[in-house]
Amino acid sequence: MNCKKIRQVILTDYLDGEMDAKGKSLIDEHMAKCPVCKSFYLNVKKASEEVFLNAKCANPPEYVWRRIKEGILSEREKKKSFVPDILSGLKSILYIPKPAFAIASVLILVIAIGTMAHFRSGYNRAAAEQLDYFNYLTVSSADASANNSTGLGTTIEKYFM
Amino acid sequence: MQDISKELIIEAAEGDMESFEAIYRATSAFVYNVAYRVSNNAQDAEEVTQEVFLKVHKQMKYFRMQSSFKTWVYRITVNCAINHSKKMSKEKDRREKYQKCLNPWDMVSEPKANGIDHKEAAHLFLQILNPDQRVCVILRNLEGLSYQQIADTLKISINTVRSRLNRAREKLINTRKEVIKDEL
Repeated sequence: MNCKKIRQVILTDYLDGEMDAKGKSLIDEHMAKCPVCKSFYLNVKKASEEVFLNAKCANPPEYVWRRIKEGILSEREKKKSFVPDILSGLKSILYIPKPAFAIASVLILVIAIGTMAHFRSGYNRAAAEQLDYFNYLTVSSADASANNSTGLGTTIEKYFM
Repeated sequence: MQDISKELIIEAAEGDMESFEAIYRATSAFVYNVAYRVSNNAQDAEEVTQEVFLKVHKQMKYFRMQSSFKTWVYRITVNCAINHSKKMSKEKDRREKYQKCLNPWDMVSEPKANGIDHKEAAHLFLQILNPDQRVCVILRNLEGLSYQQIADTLKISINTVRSRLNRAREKLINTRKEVIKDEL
């Protein structure tokens, strides 16, 4: 390893004690021979130690815990009140008063019977008309062949005329 | 950060407030300090601490015991602190511009955390780093995490941890040289 690479390692793994014994001894051997790398290491160590030597830690003020506790408790309250809210909402949607239900069912029944009767009578009328037309066709075609009349002699012509 | 027992985590996840308070007492100093060092403001650090513990409480029931609880708390803390810091720096820029317009000589100073001096070397050094480098340095030099723990917390590779620490320390050396030059 050259000096540049050695210094890269010194800046991180060596300084932070992240090297295995073999790697560490390699760096130590190099520094024993190279005074420039040795002084680089001492400078870096001193600088980083100096920077964090008097770094203090602080505890959060007590009111932070009180706020967190309040937050948790209000969240719980919200959850508790949320479930009954859903149930009562569903109940109000699905609930129909009894008289209204009875009137609605009678109305639906009347409408259904009326519609059925209407379609049934319409069907009968159409069937009767169709039968008349077939009767007419059979009679008029028999007449045409008997009279041997001029004209086109189509039964449809006679029907419309 | 102190070790948290499994029993305590389970009890807290089941809604026991005393167990959750015990977890808070064991971890709040770490959360608050990281938040303060990242955001550089006591008020923001308090907000981040609050946000972190509300998240921890909410997500606790989904926490898998296979992974480390500490690393999980570290990750939530770092993510909340960085997000908060980014949000606040944008807001701060706008506020400062507005303040300058109103009265250019009357700038609002940042509130300090209890016992942390704004002139202390660590504080000044951390201010020259970008948020990613800052978090790596805080976790390594102030909280004593190993490279592996930092990588797990930030979900990055160990080599990325190395390169961030490397750049941060290069900055530290260069700044120190400049200071020495100025003093001479």
